[in-house]
Amino acid sequence: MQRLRIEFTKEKLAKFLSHLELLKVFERAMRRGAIPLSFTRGFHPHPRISFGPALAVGITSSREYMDVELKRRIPVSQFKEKLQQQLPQGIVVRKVEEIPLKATALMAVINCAVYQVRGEVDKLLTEKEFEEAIKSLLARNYIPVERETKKGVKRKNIREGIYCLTGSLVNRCFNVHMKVATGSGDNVRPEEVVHALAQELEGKAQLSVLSIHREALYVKEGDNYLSPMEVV
Amino acid sequence: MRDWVTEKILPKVEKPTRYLGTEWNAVHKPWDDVAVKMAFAFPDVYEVGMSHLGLRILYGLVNEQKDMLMERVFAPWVDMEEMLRQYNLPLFTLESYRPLSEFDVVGFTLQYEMSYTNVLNMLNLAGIPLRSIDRTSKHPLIIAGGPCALNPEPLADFIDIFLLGESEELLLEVLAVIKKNKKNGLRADRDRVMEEVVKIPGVYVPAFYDVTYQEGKFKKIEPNRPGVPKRIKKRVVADLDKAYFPTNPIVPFMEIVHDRIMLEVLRGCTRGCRFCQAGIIYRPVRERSPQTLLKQAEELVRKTGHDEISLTSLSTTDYSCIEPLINRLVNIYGEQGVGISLPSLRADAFSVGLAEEIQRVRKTGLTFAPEAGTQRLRDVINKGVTEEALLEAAQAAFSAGWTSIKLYFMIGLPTETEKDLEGIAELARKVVELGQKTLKEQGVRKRVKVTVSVSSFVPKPHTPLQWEPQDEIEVLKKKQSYLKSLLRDRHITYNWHAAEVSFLEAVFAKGDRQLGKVLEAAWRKGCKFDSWTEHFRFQSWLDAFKECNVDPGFYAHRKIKYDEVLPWDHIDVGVTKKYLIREHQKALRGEITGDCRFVNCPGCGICSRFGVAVVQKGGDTRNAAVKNRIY
Ligand code: SF4
Repeated sequence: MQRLRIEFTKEKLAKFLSHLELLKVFERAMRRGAIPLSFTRGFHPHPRISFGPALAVGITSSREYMDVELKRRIPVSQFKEKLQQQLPQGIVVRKVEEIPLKATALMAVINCAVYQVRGEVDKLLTEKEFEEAIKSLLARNYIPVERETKKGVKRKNIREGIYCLTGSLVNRCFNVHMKVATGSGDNVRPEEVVHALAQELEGKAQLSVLSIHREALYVKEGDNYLSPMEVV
Repeated sequence: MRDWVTEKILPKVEKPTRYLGTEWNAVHKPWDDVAVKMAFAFPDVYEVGMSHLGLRILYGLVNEQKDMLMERVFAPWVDMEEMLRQYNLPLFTLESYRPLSEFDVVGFTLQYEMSYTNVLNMLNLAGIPLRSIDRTSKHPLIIAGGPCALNPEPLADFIDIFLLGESEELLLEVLAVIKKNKKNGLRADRDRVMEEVVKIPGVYVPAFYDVTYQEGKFKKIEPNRPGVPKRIKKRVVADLDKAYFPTNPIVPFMEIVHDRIMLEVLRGCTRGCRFCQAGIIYRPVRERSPQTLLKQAEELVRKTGHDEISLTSLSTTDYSCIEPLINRLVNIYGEQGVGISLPSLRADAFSVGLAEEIQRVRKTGLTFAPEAGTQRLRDVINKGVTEEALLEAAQAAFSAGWTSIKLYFMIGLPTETEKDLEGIAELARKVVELGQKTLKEQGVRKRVKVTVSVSSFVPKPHTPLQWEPQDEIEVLKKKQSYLKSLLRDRHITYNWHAAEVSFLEAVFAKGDRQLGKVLEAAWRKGCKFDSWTEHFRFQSWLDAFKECNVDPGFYAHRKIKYDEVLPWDHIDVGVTKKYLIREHQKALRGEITGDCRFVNCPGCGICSRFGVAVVQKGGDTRNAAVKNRIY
C-alpha cells in the first residue's frame, strides 16, 4: 500500500469539469497508465481517491489537491510521469508526495482558499472609490449573505471568514484578491465577497464577474498558512 | 470561434462538457492536410449519441484513413440552441468548431423515427437548405444510414444519399468517390458524385426514383434513369473477426447513457420474434471469436480506462462462447476494478447464472422481456419464452440475492384480448409471490420489487407483422388504464409509454414520401426532441398533418394487403417477402418457428442471398439447445 498526495492545476477547458467528472478523469487516467489503484471492497468497488474542497464548475485553479491509495508501491517520479501522460489538457500535475497511510484527509485539513476575481464595472468609478469600498467593507464586523439550504434561505455572517481582501481598478476592469475560509467548517464563496463589495459601492456602479481563479488552498493554523503538501 | 464560444457561451449552458470536443481519444486532424472531411451527425443530445456503437466504429475507421477525417456533431440541447440562434452562430463540430457547411459530407445516423425533426433542426442550424433539391455544390452532401434508413422514404426529400445496412465498408467507398471528384481542394460536383455512388451496392439516391400515387396514396416507386438498381440490397460485413473495430474510442467527460466499453460479441439475431425489426435487419448472425474479443478488451481497457465492459449484441446470452468468455474476463479484470455487464438477459436460469457470475448487474436489477402475458400471444409473436422458464429465471435471481426484477411487455399486439392483458398482471403477481416466498425462506428482510414496463406495439417495416394495423390511441390508452387497475400492488411499479409517441412512430416507420412535408411542417411548428417527454408536442403534429392534408391513420391503423406495393419494397434487407408472409400467417395461427441456430432453417433467405452461413464460434449448438431447453 502507498498513499500519495497530488497537487495539480485545473485550467483552460478543464475548468468545465464537474467534481464527479474530474474524479472519473483521474480514475480513468490511472487505469490507462496502469497505476495500481486501490479499490474499496463490496459490490461496487470505488477507487480510493479523495479530493480537497470541490471547485465550482467554471472556476480555474492553479492548485488543487487529491490523495490516492495504491495497492502496490511505485516510485513517486514514475507515478507522476505516468499520470501526466494520461491527463487531458488543462490538468497538470505539479507535485506528488508520498504521505503516511493514516494522514488526515484533505477535506479535514484544508480550511483556507485564495481567489482572484476579475470583472467589469458598468459605470466610471475612480480607483480611490473602489479601494475605499474595500476598506469600509473590511471595517464592518457583520457581512450578511443569504444561502439557500434544504430548510430554506439562511443568513450567515461571512466577515470572520474573510482573512484578507485587496483589489484594484483599471479603467473599467477590476481585480480582487482574497484569502477566505473554505472547506467543511466555515466557508466563504468568492462571489459572495464580490457581491458584498458591490453593495458597499451603494449603487455607484454594478460589478459583473468575468472570471474566478483559485490560486491556492491552505491549511491555516493561526496566522500560519501551510501548503497541504507540507502539513504531513 | 472556439475561444469565443468557450468564454461567452459555455459558462451559460447547463452541461458544458457536452461541447468541449477535447475528450480523451478525440481526433483532431490538421484540416488542410486531409482531402475528404465528414461530420458525423447524431440527431439527439450528446450523452445519447456518444453511447452509440456505430459512431464509435465509423469515427475510428474514417480517422484511420490518411486522407479522410471525421468530426462529431450532436443535436445541441435547447439551451445551446438558443445561444446559437441568439448570436447567429452556425452549428459546428466539436473537434474543430467548424461550421457543418465547411464539410464535404454531413452524415446522419437514423436510430429512431422520433429523431427526424432533429435532423431538420440541425440542418437548419447549420444553414444548410433542408431539401436536397435546394442544395448546390456549395453545400455538403447530406447522407444518412442506420436502421431507419431501411425505410428511407419519409426522409427522401431531405437526404441526398442513403447508405443501407452496415456501413463499415460502404462509407469508405462513398468517401473515395467524393475524394476522386474533388479538384484543387474544391468541393466535388454534387451531381457527378450522386451518379457515381449510385453504382455502389447499398447506396440509395432517392432523387433517382419516382413515386407514383393513386388517389393521393402511394402506388409504386421506380428508377427514373438507366443504370440505377430497381432494388437496393443492404450491405453486411462478412467476417466480424476481420471487420474493423476501434479499440480507442472517445472517453467522454460527462456521464453518458452507456458510460462503458462496448465489446460487440456478435451481430444479428435469429430468434425470430415477429415484431422485432432488429432481428430481421441485422441478420445474418455472425459471432466474434473469443480470442479476438479478449484482445480487443485488453486494448480497450488500456486505452480508455473505463471501469466496465459491456458485452453487447441483440442477445448476448446467445453467444456460443459466452461462459468461457465471461469467465476469462472476470478473472482478468476483476482485480483492476473493471466489471463486466450484460445489456439484456434471456429469461432463463442459464442467463441468471451468468449474471450472477458477473455480479455487476446487481446495481440495476434484472430485466426480462416476456413481451406478452399469455403463452398463446407469446406464440403469436414467436417470443420463445415460456412461463416456466421465466419463473425459473426469477426464482434463480431471487435465490441469488436480487430483490428487484423488471419485466417488459407490449400491448396492442395482433390478436390481443383482455385475457392477454390479465396475463401480464398474473405473471407479474406470480413473480412477486415467488420473490416473497424465496426471500422469506432465506430470511432476507427486503421488499420484493417488480417493475412492469409496457410499450405499445409498433408494426415495423421488414417484419412479419408489417401488414398489421396499430391499435388506435384511445384503445391503447384504455388498455393501459385497464392494466393499471390490475397492477395495484405495492410491490409492483407500472410504467408505460405515451401512446401518442408510439402512434407517430408507427406512422413514420411505415411512411412514404408524402410524410416529408408533414415532417417539415411539424418542425416549423417547433417540434424537436420528440422522444423527450418535456418537448413532445402532439397537437403541433396533428396540426401539421391537417395542414398538409395527410391522414396519419392511413399509415398506422390500416391493415395492409399482401399484394400492395410497400413504400420500402425497393429496399432489400436480405430476408424474402415470402418468408415474412409465411411468418405472418403462422403468427395468426399461433404457430412458433424455431431458432435456426438450434433447429431447422425456416428459410428466411439471408444465407443464400448473402452467400453466408450462420457463424458460431463455439461450434454447432443444435444439441446444446436441447440441453438448455431453449426450444
Ligand atoms: S431475441 Fe427476439 S426481440 Fe431480441 S433481437 Fe432477437 S428477434 Fe429481436
